[in-house]
Amino acid sequence: MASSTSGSSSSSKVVKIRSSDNENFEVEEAAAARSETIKKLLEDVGDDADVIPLPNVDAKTLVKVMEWCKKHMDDVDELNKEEMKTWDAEFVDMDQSCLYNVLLAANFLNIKELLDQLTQKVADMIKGKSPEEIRATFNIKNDFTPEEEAEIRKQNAWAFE
Amino acid sequence: MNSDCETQRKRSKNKQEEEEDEPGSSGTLMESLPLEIITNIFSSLPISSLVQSKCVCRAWRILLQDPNLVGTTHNKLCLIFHCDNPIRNHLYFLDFPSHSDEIDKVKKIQTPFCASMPEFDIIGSCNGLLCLSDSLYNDSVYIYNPFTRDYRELPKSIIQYPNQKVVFGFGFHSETKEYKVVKIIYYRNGRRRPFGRHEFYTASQSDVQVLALGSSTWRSLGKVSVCNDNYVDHWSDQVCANGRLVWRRRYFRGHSLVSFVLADEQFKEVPQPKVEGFWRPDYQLVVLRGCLAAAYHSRDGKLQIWVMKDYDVKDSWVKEFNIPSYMPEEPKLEMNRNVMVSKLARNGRLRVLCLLNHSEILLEYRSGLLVVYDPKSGKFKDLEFQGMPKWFQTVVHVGDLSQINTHIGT
Repeated sequence: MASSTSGSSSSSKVVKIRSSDNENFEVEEAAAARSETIKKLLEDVGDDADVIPLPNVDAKTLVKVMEWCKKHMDDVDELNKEEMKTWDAEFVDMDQSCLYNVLLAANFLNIKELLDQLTQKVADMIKGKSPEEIRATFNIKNDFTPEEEAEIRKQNAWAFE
Repeated sequence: MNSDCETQRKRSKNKQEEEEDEPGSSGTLMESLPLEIITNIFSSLPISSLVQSKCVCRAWRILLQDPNLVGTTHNKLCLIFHCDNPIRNHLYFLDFPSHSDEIDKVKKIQTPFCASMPEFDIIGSCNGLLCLSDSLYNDSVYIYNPFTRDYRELPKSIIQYPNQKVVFGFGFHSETKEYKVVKIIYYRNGRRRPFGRHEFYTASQSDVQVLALGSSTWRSLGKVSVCNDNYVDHWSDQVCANGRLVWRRRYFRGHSLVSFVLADEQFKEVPQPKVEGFWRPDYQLVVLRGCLAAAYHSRDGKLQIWVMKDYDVKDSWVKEFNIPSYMPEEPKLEMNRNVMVSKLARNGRLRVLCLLNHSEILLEYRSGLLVVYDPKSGKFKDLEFQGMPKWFQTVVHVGDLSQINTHIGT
């Protein structure tokens, strides 16, 4: 099911990228170039590029990342800032496995702004929570011995009030 | 510690592979992310969340205690409130600026040394460490990280003087990587009566002693080597800027700015701004954007903030802010009997604390209220927090989770 995220503007240049599971996508160059990694690859290969392979990103994740890139393709003026903020907040509201894949993809594709938004999302999932709640949120095993746990609690008693 | 991190990294990798094998499996997000991303996540959390995170699992604790891994400190700014009302000294803290939309809660910090030092002064805050001195006997000094509860009592001076009055300083020199505590001791020999509280101008002798954190003895540098060293002057609270400790020093002929260079341990006078027309030759020192600054109260009730853009260059003093007079509407600023006995409240007046993002200024009003002033709009905003102590003095602090020994290399 090769989906396309190419834009409506007919004048803009389109590049082809390929996901790790061999799906091809056609994306506007301005959107794809939000990724420093793709931008550099495009510069290296020039106009001879056929398809740019992205061996670390699967199709599902790539669709998601390109959705963000397309939205953030143009500079946002003051009027649309609030709207963009709402859009971004909805965008990062995804399940953890998806969040994980998009985070890794944003890291690999070097899209700083997206990476910052996702990092902030994870930070928000930690903020204001107790250690138990954080463990439950991320399914992390408590590997302290009961003695260590007691000592830590004593040391940080103020934090658990 | 390194090998543990290495193990963690490998484990992350394995988890990552597992994750890729079973797409859609969730729940291991934080454990399987690359270290670099996890570090980024932690660096955008306030200090209170980092303290909680440290207790989640071993890997996180190791990560959060490593000063090299969580290097960005810009978000770990917090405020420490020193409160001495009604009795004994207490410390409270607040993540600041706020990280949530709700009203933030002020939390109490325990002082594990409270049995041996129930009352104290805060000499200074530097890279996550507080330096505290005994305010009853003046001979104990502690270094304390309130977010790890790690503390050190510093060695006592070998030479003790009769009737001594001590001015303290605490700072860090980034080139020598040394933390130093300085004691400027004024004393009088013989049978003369001890110093009174407001007695600044009595002839006396002085001795300057320095202790580099990590060493076991105080070194004496001899008497104070800047002007009027035979008088016990009034020294303001110190600030630390450009590797120097700076005090405003008032003596019987006027006032001066005195610095102690941490690297070569010399006293030096610092040029003062050319401010005229003030009835009170008195000003508060503060560090803004790394520069030494002075806040003057003018006769019309305004507060002028002068900043020395290039350290030690007289002409570089610039008036940067002119803050109109403002009276917070809080009724709790009325004095009551308890407050009269509180030393902090007695000293309290308008103090400049720090600059916030977008160049807003955080102010403390009469030791009882925090106010943000926005120079662009000229507006004031009273800040409200849950559990705020009634009378306090605020110390701007940078929260840190590393142990004291990683700071001083012992």
